[in-house]
Amino acid sequence: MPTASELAVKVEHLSITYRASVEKVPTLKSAIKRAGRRERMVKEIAAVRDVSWRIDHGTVLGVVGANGAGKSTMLRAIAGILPPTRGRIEVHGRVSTLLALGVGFNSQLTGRENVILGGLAQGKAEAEVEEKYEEIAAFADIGEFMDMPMKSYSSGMYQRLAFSVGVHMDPDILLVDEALSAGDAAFKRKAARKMDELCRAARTIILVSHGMASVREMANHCLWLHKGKLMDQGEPEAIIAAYMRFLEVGEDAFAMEDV
Amino acid sequence: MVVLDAEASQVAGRAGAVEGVPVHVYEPYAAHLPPLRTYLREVGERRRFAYRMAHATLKGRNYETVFGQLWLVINPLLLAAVYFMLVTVLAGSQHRNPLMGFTVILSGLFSYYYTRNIIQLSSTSITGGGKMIMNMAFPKALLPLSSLFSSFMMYWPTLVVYAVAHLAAGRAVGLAFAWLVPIFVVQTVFSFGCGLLFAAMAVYFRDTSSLLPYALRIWIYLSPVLFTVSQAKLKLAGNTWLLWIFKVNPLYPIIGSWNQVILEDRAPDAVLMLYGTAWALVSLVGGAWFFLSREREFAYRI
Ligand SMILES: Nc1ncnc2c1ncn2[C@@H]1O[C@H](COP(=O)(O)OP(=O)(O)O)[C@@H](O)[C@H]1O
Ligand SMILES: [Mg+2]
Repeated sequence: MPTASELAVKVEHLSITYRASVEKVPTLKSAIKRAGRRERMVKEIAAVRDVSWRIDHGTVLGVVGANGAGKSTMLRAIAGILPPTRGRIEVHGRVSTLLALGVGFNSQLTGRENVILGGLAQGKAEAEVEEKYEEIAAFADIGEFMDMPMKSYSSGMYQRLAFSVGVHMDPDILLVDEALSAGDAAFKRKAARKMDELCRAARTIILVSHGMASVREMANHCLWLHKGKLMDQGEPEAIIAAYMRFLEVGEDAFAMEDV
Repeated sequence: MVVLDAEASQVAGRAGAVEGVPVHVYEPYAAHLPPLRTYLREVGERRRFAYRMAHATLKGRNYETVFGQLWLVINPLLLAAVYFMLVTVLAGSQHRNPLMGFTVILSGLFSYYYTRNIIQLSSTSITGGGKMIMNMAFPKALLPLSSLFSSFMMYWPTLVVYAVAHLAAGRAVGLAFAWLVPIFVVQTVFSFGCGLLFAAMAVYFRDTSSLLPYALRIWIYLSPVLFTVSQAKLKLAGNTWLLWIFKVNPLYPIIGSWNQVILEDRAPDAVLMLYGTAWALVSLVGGAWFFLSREREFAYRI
């Protein structure tokens, strides 16, 4: 297992551009129609623009920014889901993702079966997941619902189980996208405790959240993205303060101040 | 056009890396295909996931209940009965025992359904797996692979039904039946290649999966399902054009050789075997190339 002060993630001049076609759903029919007119409408969306940073193992990195700032896009690039358009990403260690809850789950299956499926989806061996099963079930704490099909779950129960699977995969690096909102207040506290525990075990966490409180509590380093650009990075307190001020005074005033 | 290709992952071994900690490097790069060895290793490591997902798919369609299983068998049986009556009415039966004629259609039809299911399930495997593709890094070929597993789980019960019909019709079973194994492998490889092709194509043309059923329906009439290869050769003797279409069809050698073994209890024609194998390789290489060279773009397009 990697120890602190070893490089965990390095992002260099990362840019990610979506090329969204104007038609909502691409079809053969529309392609044939378009071929007749020789037109092709694509819109480029620069979701992440020339962002660079690096963190060592043991860092809990909080990423803040308004909606559409490119936080999720950057996280997906680190997970290896979206290849960079430009730039380079280096990731040292096994990554587990909590980008959306219950990825790989199938609502027809029971909670128990889904724990196995979710673990396999994260690249674990079946025996490893089965070994972890009791721990995962205990953490999710949804009782006999473990043996019921997941379509009978409330959304809270679904989230608890999905969160539990995600954090029990022994990752070196855990990527979390707004997932701490899982469940009720009691579960949130438990989730926060689990995160704390993971941090102390020299695990590295990248935490995207617009809940300032959780970033302030857990993170020891913070990035602030705005419209794809890295505005600032550093101590969470300072960054969050700057970000809050920015939210209050609005973008224009902030830009003026810079001049 | 912006090159979206990226990702070359490797296990640590370079200077400065910590022992046993995997290092992934993601960057845009020009190579057309992802590194194949790493890719195949990752598919191998996660095959249990594809297998479990296949089970989940069948469960979702209620095929894992008793009636679901029954329906899986009854549906093609009824279809076979319809085709059988059609063929008998149109062409008259050459068999005194109607069960003999029925098995001719049954073996071809079940075999055709295996290929059809692989292609049809695969064609929605990527477009239907949006949540996974957006939130998980994994070799995407696992999804069509899972469709292949589902199709096989749907196929084998029909083989059991066929075996019963085969014996009831008083047909022979001999050593030549060992040939069914390589023919099955050839068919699986061929179908999987097609599955990869259509799975990727559906990302670019979302109507692929709704157009496919029509193509697949036409395909059955061009394949030696409702008639045997020798019957077709006899009937189409003068018609070079139709005969050509019939022979170009990949299912001609595949189902043709399958039926030769099952219905005639003999080794398949060597030419058919080689021809079928050639089609399987073309399909796998073509399908895999198309799929793998584009899969890194899927997350951008889902
Ligand atoms: N699949 C997509 N196709 C096209 N544009 C996208 C896609 N996903 C996100 N975007 C755009 O990229 C930008 C960044 O989005 P996102 O990373 O989700 O931001 P955040 O998570 O910070 O709210 C937004 O402008 C959004 O509209
Ligand atoms: Mg987001």
